[in-house]
Amino acid sequence: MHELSIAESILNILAQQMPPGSELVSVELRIGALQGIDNDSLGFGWHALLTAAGRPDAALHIERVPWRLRCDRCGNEWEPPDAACQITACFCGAGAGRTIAGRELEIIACDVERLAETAETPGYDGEHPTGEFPAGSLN
Amino acid sequence: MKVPVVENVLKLNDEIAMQNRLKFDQAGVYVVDLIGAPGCGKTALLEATLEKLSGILEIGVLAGDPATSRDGDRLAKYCDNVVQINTGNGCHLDANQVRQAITRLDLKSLDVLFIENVGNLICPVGFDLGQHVKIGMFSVCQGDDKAAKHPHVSLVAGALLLNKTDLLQYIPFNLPQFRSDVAHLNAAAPLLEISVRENHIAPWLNWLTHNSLQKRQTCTTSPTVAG
Repeated sequence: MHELSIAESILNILAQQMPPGSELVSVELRIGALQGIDNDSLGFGWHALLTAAGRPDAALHIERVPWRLRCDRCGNEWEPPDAACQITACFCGAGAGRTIAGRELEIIACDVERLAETAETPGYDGEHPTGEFPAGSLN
Repeated sequence: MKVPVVENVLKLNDEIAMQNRLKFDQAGVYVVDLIGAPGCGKTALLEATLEKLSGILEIGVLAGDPATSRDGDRLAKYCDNVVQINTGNGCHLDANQVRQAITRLDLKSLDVLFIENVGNLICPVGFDLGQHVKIGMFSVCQGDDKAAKHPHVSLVAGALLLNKTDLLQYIPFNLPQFRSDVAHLNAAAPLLEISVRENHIAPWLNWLTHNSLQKRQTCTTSPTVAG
């Protein structure tokens, strides 16, 4: 369930990026097939963290990026439907292709609405049962 | 109002991992992140490795588990440089946990630091800890299809281990198929076939000593280069 850690990281990043006095409405993510992230599990962790922080729900919009390989010998590019099948090797016989897409894990944008009376954005407090990331406290 | 962000979700983890790697390079310690499913033999391999390399390499271990200090207790019989990390509900180690744990070790006294990740073939793969190499470990008992069904670790590993080969004579396991799967996933990573129980770990020890020596030489000439 590393999706919970991912959801926590997203909230921490957005807390620093959102304009003061705004509330999150939705987030756009780009996630590659090789990240081993399940959309439903990420959504579950995301909504659980928002609820625990007493914040309104916000939608996750996820763009999945397929695994894509390129053969450095012939330039062929292809998308293996499944890593279990043996088409990670190029038809030209050059062997395994090089991964050129599928490792993405990015926040693209977020949608926010400005709160009329609120001076501060309700921030995520970093509470997490498995430990805490010291956001902004890098030494 | 739409706000563009465009940021790596694991940016903070990756920044801490880079700091960890810098510390490792400055100390000249080769750091190995060992990833495998529960029961594949990670701790047993480390016990045997510590025993065999005693007096040859100075080794430390960070042992990651959701609960108990059993792995740490087992490994502490072979070396003093063991730190147990309990992750609670966490299914993987992250860079911050490693950063905190290494404050309890004298990195400069070590040649090799193992990070025994939480037993799991998926979640630990995406988290950079600052290691120089990730090792994927399988065992014959798990079945010959596991590398193909859980491809993520094989794709990023610097080497792959197949343990419990002494059981090949008892358990249906298509070894040529397994070899073919890992070769297709990651042709650059050697597959080291071992049996900790039968004390057959020479391929692993040779790989480890060779690569740790090579890394230490690199660190000596360029201490800030990430591996």
